[in-house]
Amino acid sequence: MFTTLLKKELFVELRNKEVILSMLSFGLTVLLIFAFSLSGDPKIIHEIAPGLFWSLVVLSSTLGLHRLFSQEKDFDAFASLIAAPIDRGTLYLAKWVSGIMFLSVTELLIILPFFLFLGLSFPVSFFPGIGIVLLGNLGIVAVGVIVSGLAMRAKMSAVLLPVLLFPLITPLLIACVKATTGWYHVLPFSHWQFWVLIIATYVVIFGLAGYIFFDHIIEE
Amino acid sequence: MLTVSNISKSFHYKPVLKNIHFSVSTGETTALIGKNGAGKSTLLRILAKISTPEEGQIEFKGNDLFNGVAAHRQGIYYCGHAPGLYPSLTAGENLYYFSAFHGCRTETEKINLVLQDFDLLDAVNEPVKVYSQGMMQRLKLALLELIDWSLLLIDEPFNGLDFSGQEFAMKKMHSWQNGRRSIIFVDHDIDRVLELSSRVMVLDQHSIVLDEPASFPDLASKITELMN
Repeated sequence: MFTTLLKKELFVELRNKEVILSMLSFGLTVLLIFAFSLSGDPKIIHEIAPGLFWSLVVLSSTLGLHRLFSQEKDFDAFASLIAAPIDRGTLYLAKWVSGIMFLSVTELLIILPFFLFLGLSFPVSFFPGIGIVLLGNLGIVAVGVIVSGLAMRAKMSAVLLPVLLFPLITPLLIACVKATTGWYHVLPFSHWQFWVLIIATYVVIFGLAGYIFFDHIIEE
Repeated sequence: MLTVSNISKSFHYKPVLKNIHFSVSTGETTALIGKNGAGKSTLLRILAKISTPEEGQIEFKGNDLFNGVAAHRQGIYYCGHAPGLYPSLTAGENLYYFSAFHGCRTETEKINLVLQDFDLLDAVNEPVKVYSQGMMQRLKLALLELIDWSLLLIDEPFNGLDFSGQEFAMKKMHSWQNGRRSIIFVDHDIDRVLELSSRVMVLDQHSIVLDEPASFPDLASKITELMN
């Protein structure tokens, strides 16, 4: 059932391109603002680059997370979906995995302009950075699907989502920025492994909470 | 087949359903009628486990519906007021995914045959968002031909259908009454309710105020009296 649900999520997005396009256009706009406003010392830009990257990710992801349930909300397809004999934890997993895919694709499209527009030097090794970004995506979307599921039925879901999401993911974002800074500034792993552990703990806690409680989160 | 005990539900501290008790046997077609806001749709949504009651228990084929086991809901099909379909997907894609969610793998040929039967083959490649309300209603009913269901919960099945569509839906409802399946449906047309159902329940003031077989003498006037 998980593969069918995931296939449906990807198929619906492929048809609409609603989630990725909204995140991408917003992300590029914010990036342009950053590029034009930060025309000072390249050292300072290099110093704050991890923070800029995660600000970009979290702002764009808010738009994408809001759209995650929009197709189901419009025609109340969500009622038909949850009335079907599907394990609701599996439904959460499918939303989580698809959300990570959409966010990762957006980041992949944004990362090159990010380095170019801000005049940043490319990092020495890519793989630890990819690992941190993927782990961060896992955490943001794990929390995001829970909050989006909660906010979906509210009339002002677009307002409710960031209000609930930002306080919940602030510790995660701090850990993501710290770990990315450690990697990008080529510090020894021992200096930033603590922050990686914080992100991993976040992923486990919110992933499990979403899987277990999604049944209660989405019911009216 | 279905046992509902002591179901209560309120929205924003305003009661919608109070201590609802009833059971539905296999093969029974039950009509649920009542004034607007009586709680009919809410009751159907609770039975489909879309909505959670404050208290009460529901058993379907001897299994508790609220224990979180998805397999216990196998065989229940909910067809609500809203289209309940993915607007950007076509009729065939909607049928494919929803039948898969109900545990049935359906071939394209079979889907096309059903769409032909429901007079939707002409619009097969159109996204559902451009369909009329009647077409969407027919599409929702078409899914019933593809999945293996034993309890149908349907909210106003004739809503949005033209005269021929209503005749067609009536025919389908009759064909589904094969003694192995149960139907609970909401409708406002008393004549149609009496023609289709084997049992009638009237909801008023958040409770069931009448629960009689459709053959009960002078039922139509009793219902009219309660509805006014």
